[in-house]
Amino acid sequence: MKLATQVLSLILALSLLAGCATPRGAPGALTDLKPGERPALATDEAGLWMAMDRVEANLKTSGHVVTDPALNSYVQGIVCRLAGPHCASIRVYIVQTPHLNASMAPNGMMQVWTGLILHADNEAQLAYVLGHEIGHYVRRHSVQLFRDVRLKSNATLFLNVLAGAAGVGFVGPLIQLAALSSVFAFSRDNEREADEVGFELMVLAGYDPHEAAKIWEALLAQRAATKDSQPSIFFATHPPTGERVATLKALAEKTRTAPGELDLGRERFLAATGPFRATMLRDELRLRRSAATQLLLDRLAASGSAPGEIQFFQGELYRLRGESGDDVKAIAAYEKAAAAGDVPPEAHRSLGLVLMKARANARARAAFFRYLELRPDAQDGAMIRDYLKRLE
Amino acid sequence: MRTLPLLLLVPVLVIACAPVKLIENTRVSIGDTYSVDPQLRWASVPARPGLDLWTVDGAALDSVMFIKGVADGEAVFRGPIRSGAPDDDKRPKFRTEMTPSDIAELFVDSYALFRNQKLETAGLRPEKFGTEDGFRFEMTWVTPAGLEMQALVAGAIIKKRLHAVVYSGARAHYFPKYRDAVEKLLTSIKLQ
Repeated sequence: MKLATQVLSLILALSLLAGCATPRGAPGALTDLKPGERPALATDEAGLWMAMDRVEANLKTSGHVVTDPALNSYVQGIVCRLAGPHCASIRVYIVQTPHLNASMAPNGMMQVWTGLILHADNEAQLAYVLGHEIGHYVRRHSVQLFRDVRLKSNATLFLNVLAGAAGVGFVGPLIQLAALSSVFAFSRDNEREADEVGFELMVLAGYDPHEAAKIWEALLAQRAATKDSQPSIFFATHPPTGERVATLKALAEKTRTAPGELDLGRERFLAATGPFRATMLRDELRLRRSAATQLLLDRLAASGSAPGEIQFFQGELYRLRGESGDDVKAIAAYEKAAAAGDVPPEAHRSLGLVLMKARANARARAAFFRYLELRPDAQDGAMIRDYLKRLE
Repeated sequence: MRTLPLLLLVPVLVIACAPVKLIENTRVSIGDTYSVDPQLRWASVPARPGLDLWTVDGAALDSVMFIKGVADGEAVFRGPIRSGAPDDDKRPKFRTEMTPSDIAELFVDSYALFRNQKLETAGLRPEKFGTEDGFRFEMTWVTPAGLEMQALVAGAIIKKRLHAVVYSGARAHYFPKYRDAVEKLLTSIKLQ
């Protein structure tokens, strides 16, 4: 809350400074951003862009960004497919954090958090959300919001703003981005407009329009499962309302598409994101919100991809939750994972740990031996060999 | 109703008012479980319940944290963490039957509560903690401010409570700076 206030303070302080350089007057309706367009230097919009340029510079050098060229190229490719002539102006940053979020700054800095990638079923769903963010960018919603905040603020607030803005330099990139996301809570009209743009862009790009409503439905279920734990920044700024789902469903029904034209991009999505799924699931598990994670695992299991890996993480969820009977469920999940074949070596280690606690020593030893066989240079090899000695 | 938030603030204010104290380079007792030779002139700074925190250059850059006996069912980090963080009762808990592998995971998940990312452990191995059978591992992560951190964790379960020493610092400069001194501090542990 304090950080959000600090960033709000920065924006308001900027608006005050910008007010010195910009002639006052009703901004009027903003025209769409043209491809390659930058705001004139002596405008409040240019000030906002400069502030975002600084945030972007911090983000680039922080350790949070996923630097893998293949994944970055894949997501940037979707953005370019959607944004067409705006492609060159939009820079994608994939941020490794299990929280579900995507956002677009007015200067063309797009963040895609790995939590969003993990929760999308296919490329069409991810494309819809990216298209929605492109909608905010092209329609210059951040600038609209910025001007609204300035017009609604009173003198007392401005004084507080100047005092608060002094601390902004200490705010780290991830906190800044999270706080900025909460500041850029667009109006319902802006959200509706971005939904429409996102929908149009995905249809023009040839994606299945029915997927737009599906990702919101999944997010509604996710929100219901996490209602009493950590509220998502994304949900705060993009409320997944029933009205939103109904509108997108109705739009999809009206959209005329010929058979064979609808692209889910599922295979491409799985090929590009599959190598990162284990990391993303590990990050998700660390949130220790078992109900929401269970929902996600159910969806992934139903999709049929990487069954061994999904079963392994199902076992991990049981092992970490540690409720009565979870040890038995974990053993069953690890054994199912091992049978599926595409299981990471760590599944054998986890199985060994649960079996060791259950005093099934022979089976625990077999699992640990298998782990060391598959991972001869395991970082915890010395510890596992110690367990093996104790189990003799 | 209005008094409740004020009452909740009291422990925070008490912690905030606790003085920074210079640690003399003579043998120091950590709770009533063990003692160490500090090796350096650390400053003891205010910390969460159940922890002692020493630093040379500031706790955000380098620190030795003594975790002084986490009981079964307790979280490693108690007290307020950040807005939106799970309450104490929903945080990862220590269990007396935990293996060192589970404890390494407990640390990672506890550090994740602070929105640290890219948390990894390495080199988990058995090691004596004083005369007790214990464990040791290293941990790396990126703070919400984007700073890359490294830590060395050594600990043991003593009388059903988790005791650990966590030396952490900014990976680029501060962690290597005092590492040798901390290694000596760890070998100086004597159970009381």
